[in-house]
Amino acid sequence: MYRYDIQQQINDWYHSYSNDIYKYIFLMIGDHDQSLDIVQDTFLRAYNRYNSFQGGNPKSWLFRIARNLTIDYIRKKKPIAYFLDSPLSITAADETPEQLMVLNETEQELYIALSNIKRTYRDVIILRKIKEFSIAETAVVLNWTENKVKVNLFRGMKALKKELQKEGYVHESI
Amino acid sequence: MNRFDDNNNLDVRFKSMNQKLSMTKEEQNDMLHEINQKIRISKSTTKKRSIPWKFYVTSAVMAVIFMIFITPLFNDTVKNPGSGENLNETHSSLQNSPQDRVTIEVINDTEIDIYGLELEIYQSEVLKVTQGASNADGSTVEKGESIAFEFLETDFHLVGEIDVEVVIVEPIEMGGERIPIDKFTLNLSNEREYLFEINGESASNLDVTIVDENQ
Repeated sequence: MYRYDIQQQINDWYHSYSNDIYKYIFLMIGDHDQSLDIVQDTFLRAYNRYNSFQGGNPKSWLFRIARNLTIDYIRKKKPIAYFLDSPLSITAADETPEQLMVLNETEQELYIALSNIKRTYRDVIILRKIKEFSIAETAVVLNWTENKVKVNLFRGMKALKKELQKEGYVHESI
Repeated sequence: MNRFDDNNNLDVRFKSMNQKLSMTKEEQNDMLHEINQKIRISKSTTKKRSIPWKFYVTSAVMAVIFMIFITPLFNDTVKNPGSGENLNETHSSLQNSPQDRVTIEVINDTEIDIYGLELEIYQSEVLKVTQGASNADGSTVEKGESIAFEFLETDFHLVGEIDVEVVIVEPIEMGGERIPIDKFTLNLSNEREYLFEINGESASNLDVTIVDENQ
């Protein structure tokens, strides 16, 4: 495949998936500008490593690249938090990112709760619940087994509800 | 009940979040433009073949070092008189000039099968050297064929009178008998090659005569 064709392919993928990738990254790190940088790096890396794409679903491949870059960013920015798999720790009292202003109150509460659970739970919930990836696709992106995806999703949802409860967004009866 | 009380409600919220969080069109276009620009730069960078300076410099240095060490060796071989003389000496010892050797060739002019010959050289009635020769393949020296013997100054003094005894030698398998044919005197002059022939009808009646090519 010629370089020009690869570039064209990357452009097509960009039009199809860049916004979804942005959303995933933003929900993971909560930083708009940094999310844009990582999206750009994702497509540049896809171009440079096009030979490693073995066909199949380009969306999963691109998300996997995006996730690796996001993890790299988290690891560099907060190495201790990364190794402890700790949450972003955003509270309602914090200044809400500008991009979150488009969300209504309940969505903002959900976002904050999501930010306050473990990264691995956040990861799997974003992919399965928000990006609506199948279990198999999620397993590919996270490089997990499907069973691990199911277990972590179950635990993640439980942790998310607990967090919502803690913040007073839900009744204890749930 | 609360707005997050069931999973379905959560799913609705998730989907709503997904729809609302988005890059602006302007951001998307700017980013695509930047991506394509960086790809073009990387293309032009990869096309430009950098000159492998390190390789060239290392090769040049190695060549200079090689020349420094190797050139004197060649100079020694060419210019050093001592080593040259040694070579010449060795050469001369291996290849004597024709003047330093005497060749005696003996032709079989008989019907007798001769497997080998031996020449015993006496000088001043002292046996100086015995030299034997036969065909390398063990075949007989047929009538008309010859065997040549070559003597050097180290064998005896190549000028003056010598006595030569010609002996027929049987192979060891046939008993290894030595049959002396004739003994004659040869006066060595400046001539370096001498030709003789064995004549006679039977083994008991053989003699050796010199072949004078001038006759």
